[in-house]
Amino acid sequence: MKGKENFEECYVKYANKIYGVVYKMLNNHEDAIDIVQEVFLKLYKNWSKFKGLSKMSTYLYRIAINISYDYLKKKNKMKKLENLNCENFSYLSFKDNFLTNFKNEEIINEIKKEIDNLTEKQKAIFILKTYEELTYEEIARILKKRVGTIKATYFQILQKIRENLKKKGVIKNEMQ
Amino acid sequence: MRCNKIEEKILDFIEGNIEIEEKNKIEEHLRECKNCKNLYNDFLFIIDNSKKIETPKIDKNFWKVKFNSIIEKEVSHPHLKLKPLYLSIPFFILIFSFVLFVKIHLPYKKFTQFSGYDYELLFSEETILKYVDYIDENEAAKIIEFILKENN
Repeated sequence: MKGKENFEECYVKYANKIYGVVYKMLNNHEDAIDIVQEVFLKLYKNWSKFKGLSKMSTYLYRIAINISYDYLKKKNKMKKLENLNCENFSYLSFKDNFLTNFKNEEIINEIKKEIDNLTEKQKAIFILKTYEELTYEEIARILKKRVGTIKATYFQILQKIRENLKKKGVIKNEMQ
Repeated sequence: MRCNKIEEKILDFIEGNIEIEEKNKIEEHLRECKNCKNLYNDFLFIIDNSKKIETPKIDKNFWKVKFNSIIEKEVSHPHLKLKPLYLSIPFFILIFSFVLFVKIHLPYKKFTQFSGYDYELLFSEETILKYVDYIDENEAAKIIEFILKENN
């Protein structure tokens, strides 16, 4: 990879994408912008060394996730559930959730809280899989883990969110 | 198909990464098993609603300005490629000084340890003789023996 023009091209192509991932990891616009800059500054410094053995997106996702991990550790952003005595939503049925906007907003907020409460690694897997729609193989390459581990963790994350949403009443508990 | 098999395949089923034959088996199971159907519906519900979480929209021009700031930052504060070399210079000076110190002081230390007297060892014959006046014969013999050993 040579030339500053190519770097600019790469920046324009991926900056927003990386911002999306980092924003969802940190849930903070300003910090996400700073981290995007840090990611590309790192890439700029290593531009001549990048041989294209891995996909550029994989490389950038990896840097972004690592910097976000550090950020989250430093800032101790992983907040625990602030309160569990939130409003109970009556979960109608899967299709009915789309009928009223107000309830959808609350549901989304509850899911957002659940994502915020995931560990850094779980968050990375959830974001890369759900929002970026990467394959398990791609995520495994980015996070340097086994495909099976990524798949199992994603299942556990969904189960964890499901259980918590059930406790809050966002998802109807069939056993009740 | 058993429920634990469904759990294993449910994510592939949601993503559509599954053979038709297996897909049919799962669908058949989901029609019959309420628990697995709930699992499938809940997972879909979570994934679908998660995708609705919005990210602030950012204008392309914003990134152009930010891009320029990266370049400016790098031009005004270029990273030091020779940084390790710069750092190693004081380290080598320190090592060199230490070696020099040891070289100079080692014979003296050895001597004081050997004779028990606290004075500097000078290697000229004249100086040795001068000191011999102040110490007994045995001590002088030891000193000379030590010097000869050192010189060899």
